[in-house]
Amino acid sequence: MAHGHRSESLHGGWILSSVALFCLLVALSVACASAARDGTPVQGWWDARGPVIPHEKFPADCSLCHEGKGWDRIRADFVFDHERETGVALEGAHRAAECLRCHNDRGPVSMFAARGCGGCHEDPHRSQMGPACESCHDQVTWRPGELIATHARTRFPLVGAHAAAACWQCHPGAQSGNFARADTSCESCHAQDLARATNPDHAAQGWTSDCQRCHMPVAWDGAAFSHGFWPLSGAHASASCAQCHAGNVYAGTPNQCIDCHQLDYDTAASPDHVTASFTFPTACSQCHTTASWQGARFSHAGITSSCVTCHLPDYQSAANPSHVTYNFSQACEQCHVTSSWSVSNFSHAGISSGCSNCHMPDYNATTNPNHAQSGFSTTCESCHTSTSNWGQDNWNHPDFPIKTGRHAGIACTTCHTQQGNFSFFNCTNCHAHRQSEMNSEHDDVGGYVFGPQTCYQCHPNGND
Amino acid sequence: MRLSGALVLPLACAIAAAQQPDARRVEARVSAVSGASLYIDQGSDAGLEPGDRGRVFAASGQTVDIIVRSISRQSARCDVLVPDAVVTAGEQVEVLVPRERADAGAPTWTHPKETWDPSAPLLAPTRAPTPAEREPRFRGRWYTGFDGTFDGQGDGREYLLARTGFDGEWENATGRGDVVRFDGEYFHRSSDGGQGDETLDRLRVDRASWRLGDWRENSRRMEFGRFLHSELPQLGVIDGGEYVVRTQGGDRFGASAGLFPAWNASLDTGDDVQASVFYRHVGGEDGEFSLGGALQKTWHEGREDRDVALTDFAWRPNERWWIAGSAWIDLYTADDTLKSEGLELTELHLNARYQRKGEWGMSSAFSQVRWPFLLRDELPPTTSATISAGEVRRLNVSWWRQLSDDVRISARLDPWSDQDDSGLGGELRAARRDWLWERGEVWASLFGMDGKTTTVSGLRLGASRWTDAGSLSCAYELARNETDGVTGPFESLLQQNLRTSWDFALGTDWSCALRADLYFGDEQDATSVGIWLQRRF
Repeated sequence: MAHGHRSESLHGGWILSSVALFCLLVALSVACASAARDGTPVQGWWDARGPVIPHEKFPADCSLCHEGKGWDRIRADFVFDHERETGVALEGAHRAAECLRCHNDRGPVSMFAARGCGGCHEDPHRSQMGPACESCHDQVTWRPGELIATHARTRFPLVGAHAAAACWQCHPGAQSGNFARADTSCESCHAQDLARATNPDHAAQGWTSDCQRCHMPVAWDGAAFSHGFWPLSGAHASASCAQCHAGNVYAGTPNQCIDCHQLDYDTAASPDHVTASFTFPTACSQCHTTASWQGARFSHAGITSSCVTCHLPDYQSAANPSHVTYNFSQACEQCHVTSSWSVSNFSHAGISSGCSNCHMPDYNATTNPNHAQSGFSTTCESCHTSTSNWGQDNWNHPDFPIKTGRHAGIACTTCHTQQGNFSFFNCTNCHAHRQSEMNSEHDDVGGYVFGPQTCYQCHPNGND
Repeated sequence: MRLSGALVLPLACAIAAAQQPDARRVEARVSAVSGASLYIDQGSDAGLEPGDRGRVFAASGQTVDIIVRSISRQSARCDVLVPDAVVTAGEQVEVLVPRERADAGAPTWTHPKETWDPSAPLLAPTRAPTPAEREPRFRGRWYTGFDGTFDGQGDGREYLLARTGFDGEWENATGRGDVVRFDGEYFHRSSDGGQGDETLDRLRVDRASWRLGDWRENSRRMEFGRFLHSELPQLGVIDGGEYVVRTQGGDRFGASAGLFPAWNASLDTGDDVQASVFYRHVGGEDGEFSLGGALQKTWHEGREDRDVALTDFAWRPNERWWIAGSAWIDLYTADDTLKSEGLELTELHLNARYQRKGEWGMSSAFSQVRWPFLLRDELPPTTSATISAGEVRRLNVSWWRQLSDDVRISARLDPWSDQDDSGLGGELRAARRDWLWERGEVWASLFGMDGKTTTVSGLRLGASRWTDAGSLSCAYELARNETDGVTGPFESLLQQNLRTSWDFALGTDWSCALRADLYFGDEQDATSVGIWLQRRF
């Protein structure tokens, strides 16, 4: 088949200059139009033209239409109601057309009219658009409008990028009136796109038909690309084609995860999918999603032991607390549950000291009061009395009774008057005795010294 | 009878004058009757003006009311206001003219004494001058236009098309009734963005021909140059010549030969040659029936290409019916590898329309199209599979009804099928004229189409108005496009289109058209503007 193709010579760089030239033409045209407003009347009659149509049936009074010595001019006030006189209404551009355009000696008008528009107007479409010109054209401008709406009546409604495309892109002979029906197969118009497609190389892959399997009518490339038969979700969306289609061979590409991720499976170390005490399934999607290969969601249903088989790296890398340093048991299930690795279920049974081995981060992170800044003891158990509840109600104030007795219920800052420094306290902030009275009252106490904290040396329980 | 008429006439005149005491009767005679108009032998010299009313006193005794429509100094054309009245030349007329106008009297006779002049018209039947007696005349048009589409979707793309053309006829160029015709266009086209920039500048000549003959007194016609076959346009544009003979009964037959330009945008010539013979029969008093047929053979670069038979017909038995059709039948040989050997109906178009003017009408059209196997460049890009097996059938049924003077409803159905699929489209439309403004129309429609790859349903609204400043129209379309067999964000798109245009005249010779289109909605963002300027002469 040697079906012809366009042989247009394309060259670039003329857009701006052409547009500018066109604008100039338009400006000149408008100027000419303004100057020519009082041009020749539409029905102007030429002296020597003479009648070219029979007058036998016309009224005998020539002055009804003509004037001039030789009746060779149409009257300036000539009016002819075509619809009333002939029964044929003249609409649109026909209303202003010169009579002789239709009424001349090339044949009776009735004969041409019987053929419809094509009787007078040449049909550049060569009848291949049918004889009903009015389905696209109107009598005002003849130029067709509402083409999108008209095209919606065909098998190929213009959607997306096609709506804004120029006619000639699908009908290459449009400018010479050739609107012969275009093939609706994508490749018939997108042959050049097909030839240009090198990533991947469509021709090499044999992708020369059924474009709609991958491409959208909205836009040919970029975001409109559809891999719907195997959705490119998650990390696959940004993967290069060659990652799955090795060597740019697209035919026969397998569609199972393991087919591409075998190496990931084989080299997985956390956990080791191959040498683990139980064999991981090769149905990767049971644990992994396309969002990321990491962070698999393993179904722990039915698993109650041997966690460390998979989670040994987690055990080894755990820093809070360091499982290795404190020789934690590798029976993970003693502390952890499968629903969340970070929420532990550690049993404190039998543990009465060494809390800071695990809770040093808690010590450092505590701000109310700030343990580190206040120089609190790192012997947690000296204050915190419960392993089941580390909270506010389960701690001691071992050096001074504040939960009972006369000092119960007062705010911390009443005695610890330096903000954030709980190592400092001030008894005389409340007990504001006059020093002279205290001196006389303690004149029998050896080593007595008046000061904000010296009270505590003799009154460690806050009693008299 | 004459006696009764003699009695009735003065009586009627007296009654009429009595009803309008300020009017004076002007007597006249009917000089001619043409359709619904009649002509009387009194005009502005007698004080008549358009709008004056009067009566014809027919010989039958009937009085017929008339109204003056146009006048000359000594005659007037009047419309008959009584349906089916029978008026003949010579009957008496009475026109009522306001007294002050009638009393002004006729202007002084100023016509100079006539002397014999050989160029003065004689009281003999007029004769159409021969083409040799007419002066040459040149007429035509010049136009220029610009269309730009700016597609912001995706990477963005711009399409620009600028064109300017000339279309002219030089009648009686050599004084033998010949016509020299030329149609040509220069256009510049560019597309920018996407996968590359393209620019194309091209000059195309659609017609450059010299034609002689085929007027009333010359039944033979010949044409040379580049032109479109006029008897059967299906034969296409040739660079060559044709010879046509018209028979006494109005039939035409002839033959043509020449180069056969490719039917593409540039009409490239030189690769193809064609020869054809054709015959058109015209029947009926007004040529209301015509049947044409042709045989055409083409060669492409010296190789035999196409053998096709063409036929068309048109029949308008009366004002209500119109039937037409055309067909292409190709003959394939063993060399046509994508086709079976033998005859194949390549294209068939059938149309029928029935209408009762001002009431209702309906039409139907059927087409069947196959893709011919051609060596020449004539078709849009087409795959081999489509050429060998592609086939499209379309049926259209349209109906309209005028509900009142200003309200019209219409509907259509468009089923189609091709070699492996089928679908259906339709639209229901209502329009009302002179509603929101005079000389305007507002319309709305619902439409749908199950297409090849897309199913569309939507709404269209539009309004237009015709004023002395031109014709202004705007239209809006809201459509839901669903792409078949696709899932994801492109499966269903809600898209919109807003269009406005303004056509107007600049003086008597110039016309201008402006338009703008806006495409927006899901995955759509484009603007298109256009201007068209034309001068005729």
